[in-house]
This record gives sequence, structure tokens and C-alpha cells, in this order.
Amino acid sequence: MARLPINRPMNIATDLKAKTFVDQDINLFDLYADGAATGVGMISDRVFQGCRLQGPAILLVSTGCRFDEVNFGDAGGDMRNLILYPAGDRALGTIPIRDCVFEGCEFYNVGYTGQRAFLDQLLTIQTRT
Amino acid sequence: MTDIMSEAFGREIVARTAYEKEAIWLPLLAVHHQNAGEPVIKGKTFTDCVIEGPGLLAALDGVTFEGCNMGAAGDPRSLFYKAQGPMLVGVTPFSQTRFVRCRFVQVGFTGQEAAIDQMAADLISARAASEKAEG
Repeated sequence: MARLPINRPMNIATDLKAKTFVDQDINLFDLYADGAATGVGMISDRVFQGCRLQGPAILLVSTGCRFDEVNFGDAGGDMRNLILYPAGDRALGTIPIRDCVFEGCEFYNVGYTGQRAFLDQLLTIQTRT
Repeated sequence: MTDIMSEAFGREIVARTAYEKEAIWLPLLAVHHQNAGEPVIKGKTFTDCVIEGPGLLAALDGVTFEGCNMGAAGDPRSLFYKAQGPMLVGVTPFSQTRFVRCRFVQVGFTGQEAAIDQMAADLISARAASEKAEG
């Protein structure tokens, strides 16, 4: 059964230290800031199922991330609009994610950067209007 | 204690045009402007502020940086991003805005390719001049 679109009422996540989020709505910068406050400068080892994830944010997609039946966001008909290539060899200002699973999730106002292979894969996704 | 997510706080921060000696959390500033129906932050002056990310600042028309510390990066190019499409998603766009003696923390920059190349070149040359002066 298709998990998207997510039509349930808003359900804002309250425990940002949780390892698994199911049917919750999360500000990515809040999630990042919660970890950064304890010295963890990335979002890692989390599972998101049926979640809405909101920016503004640029996700730096690192190793071990899996996206399954995910809406990456409104690309305006062109996936290139969601992608930014870093000009240098690091990527400051982004929210790094590692070893995270996203199943049946929707992203809002989120852009993506990372390894060229991942970004090239994103570009192959068909957009829907 | 101020509730920074409240509608009243949001309205107040959006209405202002000048910010001085303040810590500005870029994602929060962006969200409050978006909630107010202003996706582009316009006509502001930030003086002696700390602008904190994580976030990508898109410098549109008329954005100037005067005596700012753009952030810590071994290679200044790591602060800059090149957009691939005509739209920008996930960034915080500014226009007609001055940043005066501000310090940026965990903030990247994007915009027109020529402007980004110029900012990167300026930073690299400024760093080279500074290193030379220090001997």
C-alpha cells in the first residue's frame, strides 16, 4: 500500500533524542540543534517512518542512509532545484546525516548535497506535478 | 522567558529592519519570515551580529557584506555552493540587505554563480594578504 502522501493531522515530535520516529513531524534544524547542544554535529542512527521533515535545511547525505518511498520535496518540475554542489571539499552550513533510514517520509523546503554519485542518482528521479 | 516560536515574537522579528549586537539563528529567522508570507528576507541591516546556522544564505540582489567574518574553513570554497537549477530550495534568501561586521557560524553561501566566485576569490585573497602581513 502506498504510504504517500501523508494526510494525517500534524503531530510534532517532542522527544528529539528518540532513535525511531513514527508518524511525527520534525524541524530538521531543531533535531540538529538538539544533538549539537551535546556535541553531536550530525543526525545519525535514526529511523524515520511516515514523518514530515521540514527545513529550511540543506542535508549533507553521508554514508549508510536509505530512502524508501520518499517524497524529497517540491522540485518545481526539475530535480536540479533541490541540489547544491559544494564548491570546496567540505560542506559548511549543512545538516549532515549518516546511517539514517527514511521510509514513507516527506521533505519540505529541504535541499541536498553530498557525494556526486548520490546527487547524480537524485537527478534521475522523475518529478510529478 | 521569550517564546521564540510564538507568533508574537515572529511578528516582531519580521517587522524589524535593523538588528544590532544580536545573535540571530538563521533557520528561525527564515521560518518566521516564511510564516509571515515573506519567503525572501528583504531590506534589513545587521550590525555586529552573530548569524548562526546551520543554514545556507542565498545572496540575491543588493546584499553586501562589510567587514564580516564569513566563518571558519580551511578552504574558503567550502563555504560556497553552486545551485544546479533556476530555483533554490532549502536555503534562506536575502535581498537588499547589509551585513556589517557580522560573524557567520555554520553558514554556507549561495547565489548567482558569478557572485559566489567573486566572494570566494575575495576571501582567498584576503586570507593571503592577512597571512603575508603576519609574516
